[in-house]
Amino acid sequence: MIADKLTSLVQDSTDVEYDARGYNKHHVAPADTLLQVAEVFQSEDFYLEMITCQDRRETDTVFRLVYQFTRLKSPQRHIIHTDIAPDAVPSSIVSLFPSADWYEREIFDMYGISFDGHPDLKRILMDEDYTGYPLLKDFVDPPTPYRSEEDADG
Amino acid sequence: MANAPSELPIVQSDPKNIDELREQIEPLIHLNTLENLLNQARSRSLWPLTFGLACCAIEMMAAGASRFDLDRIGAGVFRPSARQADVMILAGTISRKMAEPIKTLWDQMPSPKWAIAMGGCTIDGGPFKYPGQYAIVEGADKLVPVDVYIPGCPPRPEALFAALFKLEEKIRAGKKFNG
Amino acid sequence: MQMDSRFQVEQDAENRNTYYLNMGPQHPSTHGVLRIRLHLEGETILSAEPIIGYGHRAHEKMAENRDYLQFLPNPSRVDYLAGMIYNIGYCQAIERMLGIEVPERAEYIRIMGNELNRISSHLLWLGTFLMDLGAFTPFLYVFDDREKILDILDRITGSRLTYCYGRFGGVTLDVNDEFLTCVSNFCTYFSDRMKMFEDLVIGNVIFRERSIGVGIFSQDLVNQYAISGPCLRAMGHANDVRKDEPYGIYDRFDFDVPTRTEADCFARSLVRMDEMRQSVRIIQQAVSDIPDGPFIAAKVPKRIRPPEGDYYFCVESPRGSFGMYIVSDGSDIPYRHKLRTPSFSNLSAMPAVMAGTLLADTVAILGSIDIVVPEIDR
Repeated sequence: MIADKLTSLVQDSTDVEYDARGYNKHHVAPADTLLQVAEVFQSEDFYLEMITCQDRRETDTVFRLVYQFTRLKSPQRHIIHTDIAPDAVPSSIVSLFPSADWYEREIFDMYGISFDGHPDLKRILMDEDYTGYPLLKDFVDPPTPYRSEEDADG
Repeated sequence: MANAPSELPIVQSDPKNIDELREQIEPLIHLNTLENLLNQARSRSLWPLTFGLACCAIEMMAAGASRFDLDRIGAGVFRPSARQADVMILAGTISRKMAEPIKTLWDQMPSPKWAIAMGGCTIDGGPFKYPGQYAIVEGADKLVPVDVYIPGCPPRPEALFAALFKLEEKIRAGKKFNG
Repeated sequence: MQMDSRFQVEQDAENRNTYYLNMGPQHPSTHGVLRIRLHLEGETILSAEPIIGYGHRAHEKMAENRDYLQFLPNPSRVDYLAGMIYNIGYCQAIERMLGIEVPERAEYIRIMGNELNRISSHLLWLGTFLMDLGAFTPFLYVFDDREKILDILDRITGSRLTYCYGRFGGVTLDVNDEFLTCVSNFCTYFSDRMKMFEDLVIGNVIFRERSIGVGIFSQDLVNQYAISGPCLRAMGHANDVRKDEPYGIYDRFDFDVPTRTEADCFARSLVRMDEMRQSVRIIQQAVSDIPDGPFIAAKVPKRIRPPEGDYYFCVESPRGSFGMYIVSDGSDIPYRHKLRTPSFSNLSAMPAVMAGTLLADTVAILGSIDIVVPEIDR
């Protein structure tokens, strides 16, 4: 069972009430076992539904990567939190799940987190020569002719 | 009408200038310079560029489709190539990444050309504008000279019709083109 | 703008003459501002790289800057063809987070709105897909039917395309018997039209030649790319969020999940046509079963402050499984709101299918996947 295979790799696993939260299990995994955790999910016929990130530098001084795995047959949804230091480089899981390609590029584009082992890590939503990482909590876009600065009525 | 149809105007011989002549003949014969004639033709056969960016593009398609039929005002021939289009209907939010292609497309369009800004996003950013936003261009007139603005989110196809009629009036009035 | 230096014919390692061709972002067949960089040898595609971001409007950043109620106009504009489904889906996500109970009448109205929206989205897909393949007539016919649906939804919501009709706890306005009559008349009318569309389109030899056997998705793409929606159902998997993870009152309705096994463009088209019929079934059941009662919950908190933690809620959009991942820190502004959109995943699978196809097939494959670009870029 998936819970047994994961016990050695994750720090914490909790059952979650599906009706309130929308997923079944929550795990906290350290960054260095990420690839092995993904391998376990791949062997159990799960697919990667999405990867995203939370900027928790103010509250916990980490970036929290969120991986979500789901299965088509006998459905179950698992969410994995991985906290990494602000300048850490987590490993990419593109070799196991090709869909991670675009998700990791988006995290790089929006948060500035690089992934080790990604084939082509470049910006995906913003221009390739854009500087700045928009989804950071302290992000300020430099002045630009495309935005009227004096308009302050939100 | 300055003169009743039964009274023919008397044209003086040797009019001092063309304007005097035109003033005398105008009630009967509408004298156009070639440009005015061309403007009459241009206004009634505008060829838009297929340029849907976001939600407003669907209303533009609906305006060109069966119920609202842009073709009956001559504007139904959507051209995919900018080199064959007269009017660029900017329908949808303009993102920063899209600003360069829009400028390129505008430059590719041959004169005379006009632009219609359709939807709130092309007027000043619409629902996506907030202080410090990083993603969009607040208004199409930051990129191209816009002739008609259509408010709405999205505007109804009838609003696009009204905008095209306004543009046609503008063209027929001999507006100097921006190209 | 720097020109990409690779836009010239060059000889590669295997002595083939190859070149790069740029498709988009302004192109009649890319259904929005999508750019694809094709690597071609003659007319055969060696690789295709979609380049996205031309429709990025910062929905996720906006969600972090405003509270849950102020974000209500946004989901509709993420995927404007399924505006009602996304808007009501967002309301349902918040209701589940707070444990708000929605009255029965509102649930039935929501189902009708959702399924009408699904039919209108599939109709537009049909028109534009066939227009890409060269047939202009179906485009005009489907827009006629689509206008009928938009008129019906306009009556209660006030808008044609981007709806803000859902509210936390129900819907904005009640519907009357005239509305229900309109809806059931439409259902009767549409069933005959479906037959006309099938005769017009499915038997057409050009359509069949251009879509049968084209763009076959192999089975391993399912787990590799998280494919969902009609693309998944055309591969033989009868997975539909309305059946697997029922939300609202979908578990009370009797409808099938159409599947095919060939996984080519033709199979995807047939799945969507069948789905339209199933949506009509659902609407007819909703019209006959709708009870009287309030249309919005009596007690909805004035300030939306969900308990701390992560939440995930998904709905079945016409393109696949749309999920909202919301992280709440206990305040009335979400800490993180991630939109997991189906077109993002489905399009990321496209390069795997494109190698070896012809340039003309690109349009057919892209059209049959049915993407909405602002949903990819958010």
